[in-house]
Amino acid sequence: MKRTLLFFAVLMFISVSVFATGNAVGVGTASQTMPVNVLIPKIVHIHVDNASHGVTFDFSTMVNYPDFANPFSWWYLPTDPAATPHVDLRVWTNDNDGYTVTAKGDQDFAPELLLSDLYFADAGEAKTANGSAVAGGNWNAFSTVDFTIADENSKTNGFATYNQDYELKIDGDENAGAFNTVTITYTITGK
Amino acid sequence: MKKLLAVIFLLPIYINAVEFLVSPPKLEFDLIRRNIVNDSLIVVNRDSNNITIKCYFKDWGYKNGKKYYTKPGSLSYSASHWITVNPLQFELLPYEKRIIRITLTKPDTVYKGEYRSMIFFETIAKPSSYSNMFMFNARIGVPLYAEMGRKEYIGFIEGIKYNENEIDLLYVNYSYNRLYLNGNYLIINEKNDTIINDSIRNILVLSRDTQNISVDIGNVEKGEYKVMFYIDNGGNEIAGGKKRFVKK
Repeated sequence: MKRTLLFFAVLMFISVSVFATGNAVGVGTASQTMPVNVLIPKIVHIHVDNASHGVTFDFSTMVNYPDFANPFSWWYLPTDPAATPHVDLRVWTNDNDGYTVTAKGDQDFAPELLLSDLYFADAGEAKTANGSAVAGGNWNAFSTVDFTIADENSKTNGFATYNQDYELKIDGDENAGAFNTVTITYTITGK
Repeated sequence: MKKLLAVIFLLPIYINAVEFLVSPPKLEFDLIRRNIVNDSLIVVNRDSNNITIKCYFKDWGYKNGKKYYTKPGSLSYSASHWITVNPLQFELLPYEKRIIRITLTKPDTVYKGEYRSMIFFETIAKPSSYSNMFMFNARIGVPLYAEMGRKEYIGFIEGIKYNENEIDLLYVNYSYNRLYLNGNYLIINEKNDTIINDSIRNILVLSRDTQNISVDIGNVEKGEYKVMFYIDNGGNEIAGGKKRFVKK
């Protein structure tokens, strides 16, 4: 009987030792390894805020329109949003080969109010002074061709922010009334 | 109550964003031995509004260092007409994910080279009561490369020019595939001291095309210098070039 019990005890010990996984049993130091995998997909991401809600230049509420103190051209910031940035633009890619960010518009507001009368710059750019014939600082005119805002040869570190401000050039021949809706497209492409 | 009113008043300002992602950011196909290949892209709406996305293709390249997009099939080495995407237009609910199938079919007769296209995913802007002046679209372009031939690394430095506050290096990619240039440049003064040692990282040169590498020397003081470039295109050899210039 003792032999049988001893045989079963030895058999159970061997079974536990051989077939147990995920447990370390023993006297003294014991360790168990477990792999930890992290999988991050390659992505490209864009965020455009104020989208659909739009940017408005409401000249009925502007105190300096008309501007009797200066000759044309007159330059105006939007009435809505009134604060910078007028458009939140953020991109993100973890592709090490880099990315390009561009902006374009699709059509003129009217025959006398062209798409190229609308200018954009990185947020915080000072408005062009009224009376100036050309846009100052780093303002660029919109066109139907993509304009490069950024061209980088590496991934972004989290979100890269390219917030934008707008200004509109008025040269006096604009008619009152409604204008065409202009669609602005912001693009990120890989390389 | 005041807090609640404020939240209700502010809500419309924040609900109309467009935010989406595409994975992976680039597609590469080996068509040496295959005529048809399939792959997929994942498009995810990352915003709390529904978005409608349309898909289309364009040819693309670089002109004067700027990326441009043009009609499909208008450039040599265009793969735009080989691509089939399904679905071409779809709606995504908030945070919804969609798998887009891509099929590339190689024509019967095609010359050696690396063919390319840009697959665009563009949101369709919806009119709103806020403003009838503007609408905004967000767009993601996924470059697609189809290789027809073994990878090669043939390129050279065509010239180095000094222009007041800038040094321009022109690199010619003579390969039938794109190259990514890495390396560094040194600006050395008359005493043989290196005053600038900077890296050149991952500059894309498309197949059978050129690329300009500009170095800003606006902060370099007046004097006589030499600039030395070391360009690694991923092949076995490193291209070098140097030029003396006098900053006035």
